[in-house]
Amino acid sequence: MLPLVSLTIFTPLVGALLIAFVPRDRPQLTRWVAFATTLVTLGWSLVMLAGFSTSASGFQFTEDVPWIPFFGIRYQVGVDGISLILIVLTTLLTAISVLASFRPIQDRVKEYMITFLVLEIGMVGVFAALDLFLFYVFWEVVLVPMYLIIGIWGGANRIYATIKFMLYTLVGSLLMLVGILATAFEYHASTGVWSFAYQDLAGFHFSPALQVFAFVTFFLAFAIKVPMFPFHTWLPDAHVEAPTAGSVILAGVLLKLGGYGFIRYSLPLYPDAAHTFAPAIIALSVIAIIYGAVVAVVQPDFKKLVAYSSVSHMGFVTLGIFVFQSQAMQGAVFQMVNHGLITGALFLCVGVIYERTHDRRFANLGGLAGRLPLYATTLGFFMLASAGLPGLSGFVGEFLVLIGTFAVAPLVAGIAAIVMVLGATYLFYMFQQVVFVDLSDFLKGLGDHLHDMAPIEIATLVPLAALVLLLGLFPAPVLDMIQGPVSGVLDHVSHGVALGFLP
Amino acid sequence: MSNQLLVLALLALPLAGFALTAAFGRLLMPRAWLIAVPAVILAWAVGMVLVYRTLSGQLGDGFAFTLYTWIPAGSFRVDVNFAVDNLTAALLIVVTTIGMLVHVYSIGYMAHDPGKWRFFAYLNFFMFSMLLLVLAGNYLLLFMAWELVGLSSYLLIGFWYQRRSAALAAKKAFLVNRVGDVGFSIGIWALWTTVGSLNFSDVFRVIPEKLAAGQLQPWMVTGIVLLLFCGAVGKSAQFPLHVWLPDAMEGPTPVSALIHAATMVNAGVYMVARSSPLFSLSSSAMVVVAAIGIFTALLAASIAFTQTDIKRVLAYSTLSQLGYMFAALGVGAYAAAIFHLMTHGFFKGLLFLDSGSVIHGVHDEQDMNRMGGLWRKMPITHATMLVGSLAIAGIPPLAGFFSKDEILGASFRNGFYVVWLIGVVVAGMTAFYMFRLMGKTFYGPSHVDPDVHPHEAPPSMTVPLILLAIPAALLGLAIGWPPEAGLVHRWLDPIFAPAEQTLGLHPEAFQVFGIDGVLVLVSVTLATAGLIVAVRLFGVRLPGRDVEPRPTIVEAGTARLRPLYVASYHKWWFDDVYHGLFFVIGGAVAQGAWWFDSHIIDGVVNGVGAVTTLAGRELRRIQTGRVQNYALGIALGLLVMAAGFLVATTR
Amino acid sequence: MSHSLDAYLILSALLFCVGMFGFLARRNAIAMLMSIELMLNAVNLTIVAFGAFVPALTVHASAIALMVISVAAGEATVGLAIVIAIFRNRRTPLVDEYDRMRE
Repeated sequence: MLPLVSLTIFTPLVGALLIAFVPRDRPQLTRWVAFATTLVTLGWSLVMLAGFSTSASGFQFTEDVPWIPFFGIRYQVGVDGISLILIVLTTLLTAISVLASFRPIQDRVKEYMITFLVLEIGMVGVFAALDLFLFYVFWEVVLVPMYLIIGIWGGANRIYATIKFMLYTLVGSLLMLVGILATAFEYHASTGVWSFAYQDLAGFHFSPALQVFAFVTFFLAFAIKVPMFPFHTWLPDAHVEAPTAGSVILAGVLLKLGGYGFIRYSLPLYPDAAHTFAPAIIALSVIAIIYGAVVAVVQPDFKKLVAYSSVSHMGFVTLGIFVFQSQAMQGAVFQMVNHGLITGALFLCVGVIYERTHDRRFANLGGLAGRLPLYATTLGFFMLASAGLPGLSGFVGEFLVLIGTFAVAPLVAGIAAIVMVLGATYLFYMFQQVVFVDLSDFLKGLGDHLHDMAPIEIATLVPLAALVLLLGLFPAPVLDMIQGPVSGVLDHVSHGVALGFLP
Repeated sequence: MSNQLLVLALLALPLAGFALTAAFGRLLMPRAWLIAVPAVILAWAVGMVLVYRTLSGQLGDGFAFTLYTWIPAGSFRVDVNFAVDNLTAALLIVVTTIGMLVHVYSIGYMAHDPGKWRFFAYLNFFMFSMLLLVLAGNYLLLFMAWELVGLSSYLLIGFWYQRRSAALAAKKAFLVNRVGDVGFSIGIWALWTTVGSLNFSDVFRVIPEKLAAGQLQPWMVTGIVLLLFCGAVGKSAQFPLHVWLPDAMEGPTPVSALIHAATMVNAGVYMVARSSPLFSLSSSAMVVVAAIGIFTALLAASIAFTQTDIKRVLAYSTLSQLGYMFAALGVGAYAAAIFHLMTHGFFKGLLFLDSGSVIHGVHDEQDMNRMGGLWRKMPITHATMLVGSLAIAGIPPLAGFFSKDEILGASFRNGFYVVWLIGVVVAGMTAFYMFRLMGKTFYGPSHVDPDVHPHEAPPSMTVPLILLAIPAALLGLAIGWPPEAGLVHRWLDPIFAPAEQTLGLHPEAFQVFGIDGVLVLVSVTLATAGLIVAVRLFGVRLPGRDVEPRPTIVEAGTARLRPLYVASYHKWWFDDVYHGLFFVIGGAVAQGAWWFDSHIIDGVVNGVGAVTTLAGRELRRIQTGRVQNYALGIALGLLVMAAGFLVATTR
Repeated sequence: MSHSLDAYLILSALLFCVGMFGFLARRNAIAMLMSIELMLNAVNLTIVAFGAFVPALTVHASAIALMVISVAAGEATVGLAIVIAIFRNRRTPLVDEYDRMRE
């Protein structure tokens, strides 16, 4: 039996080491080695997917090795439906991002590819870790490469953006470390055993004071990552400055870390605190949903618009998690997958046009339907998916979240439903500005630079489009996978009671 | 072929046509219709077989089947399932027949358009979506089709995307529809929460049961059906969401005929009729439906009086006729509503295609003030349009007369006298504005640009016109005779029986020499009066002699009714109010939100950063870079420590 | 001549203060190095004095003193080498000019 989870986590490390031995004057070889590595990683995750049993409960493909025995810290990894689907999303988006970096990245290719592969280790590790300490280590591993990707290969204002990103997320994650340690100390104090293992801690009833403290620290880390209103302002800056592939990974995977953290740790470990804070978090989610969409409506920059749409869409994820309802939480997980595919694709679309024009302002774009019909069609497809057109995957997630929310809190769902109009407003506005009307003078001036999508760009977008369509029409396999874990989490939560000392 | 296979083939044909035309349409280019049109003709044939089997009673109450489970999420489960019954069949007749004829017509109409492969692909996609809408067996699948027809409408309105007005109109249509869809989807959530299923059969069984058992408050049922009705208001362009339909005329004329007159805009009517078991449970909701319907009928007719764009007049008349249908649904005359849907589909489709032929003939001119006297140049178009106009005006024995009078008669007999009164007035207004249109377009002196030589359309366009004129003239007689007992009632009464039972309506025999005869007489009289006034003012061609238009009287009349004229001409300022409300005020709110984001929220974040930087800059002064300063610090620190030690030990 | 520990301690304290003053007040790097030697020797004197007067410490004190002497020698060598290296670069022995670390 192969250690599949570890293979998925550490194959990129092997690739990174290989790239280190590729001569600097062979950038093309570097690219292909990196791409091959991500493909192998994707392959491992798909092998896991094929061998995954939806009927079995608990974690599968688990590996367990003592790491720091004195504190009961173990290298413990494994997957359930939620983490596996997010791992597959990660490996897929990484492969696509590496492919999408072939043309745009011409400087320091070697460093770039190594950074990207290290990033993949961290991302897969976060989803696979079953030990809280290991989780924290992987969580921080993600931070550094992303900091470098934005800071080195980013746009004009990249230093500001990357430092903002770094500080913001670091504040959250360091607080979370304190929360993790406090949790382990209390566990040790009451049982006499050191353990950071998810399975030990999840079944344990922590004292209300610790729950509130740890929940708040975890919440800050995850809320910043998601990002929830009002911790979201790092996101537009980071997206605007990041290179295309960086944006794809940022939107597609990094934001999911927060949502995943809520489901995996915040709810099962601290159910009482979760009940206590749920109303406030639901309120913040609804604000994020509406507010992100409203702000997106007036963005003059293509990429910023997509960034704010992420704030709105990720609001559905936190909303679906914190209403503690089965359909809503399944919808939230599904929405994470969708958002990864759709927003990732939208950022790729932005990248395609930025490659040619080096401009993303709507005022300078327009009329691409005539010159770039294939591009216009692709953009339209993902625009509709993002607007939640039934039959594409975006609809399933949003719909499940909202119908689940409606079952427990009709008013909240009703308010959130307004986003159907607002979302369509900014997306159709975007589409009209980029694609319709006559070719703008600025674009006319580009002449032959303005050509339709190259094969490599098509290769990055077609798999995403196929998945968006497939998951929209046949979401059942994914929903089956996440059904079990979601009901497990809700079981934990159902034992919680709201603590009385907060309004 | 088995029935299930027929249903699947009906959906697969246009879908395949769409996929193939989208993929290879450009290669076929001068004849981009080569795949799309045969696909739809085949679909029509399949549809007719299905319609025959259903309506002939071979299938009993119809049939339903499940293709696969679409969204399974715990206790929530929605299938892709289809249900076919007589109501479906009635809609299928309209959708497949008019769809096919419009496809054929488009061969000629779009002959010179370089992007027509896109046009045919979209048109096929629309056919698929519309058929899915009609065949869907649950609310979510219906909603999916609902959005897909909206999408195809968006694509086709914005077909000439280079025109800014077309791009804006397309966006407006989609967004206004979305407003209604918010209500529709909330209604769907509410249905699932109360019923636990979204299948039509389950919903219609459980809700009345729960209501009877007291598990469900009456206000909740009212709320649910009104939410569903929001969707219908959007899709069928009823007040207050009617503003998108006139703008949708930016699309090519075949699109206006198919989507914005004959099929898609009827989706709301279909949905409400399909949900009749729910609507009948709430009399207050029924009143709302009737009120919105008849008000829209009046509002749109009043606007149609003064518009000069030929397609916009037809668009407002579509709004008005849809209003009739909703009025019928509201008063409980479901079969009459569907009857009117069918006849309206044919005669309005015909009228739009005629207007397309006219526009084509005078080289893309849509302003009626620049037409006139065209009957001589375009005899077939003129003749068929005359049939259509008489039909919509409700002149017996053409199709519109039967369906409209059933609606009016039912509203009177069911006690909705106001609806009846307005309906009769609108009938007169309809006759007036339609013959104003006819007069300005076909009769009187020509105002056509002298450089333009009007000509009759090619056969691919005129043949569909003739084929549509036949049902526009005779459909009423064929399925609506005898009144209240025609074929259409035999088909549809079983479907609507439960709803009518809930409402306590008992079908009564039509009394030619009783109240019904009087009602018919009144409405026909008013319609004829409207027609005669219009003919006197705007001219007509009678056998043997021309009646000349009298522009001076028209001008004098307009001057006397100046305020009404201005209001009608400006469409009662709905567009301006909405523009102010959503673009000006809404835009300001959004700008404000962005300012808040970048100055307040981000300001706090950057403020924290700035304070840290400032503190660092100030504290940096301590670092002089001189070793001796540091050493002094060390020495002083040592002294302090030593002193502290001494103090501590000596005490 | 009194055989008292105090005398040695006072002498070494004076020596240390002279060294410290030199270190803090002189601007010449070589003079500063010499001052450091002075301070180290003051400490050494203290240690040896304690070794002479406290029998239990005799052996240890000698060992520590030898250790300090060798460390001082090493420190002087490295320090001088650095000073000379900097001197070659900056053409001055004055530490005021050595402020590159501040940047």
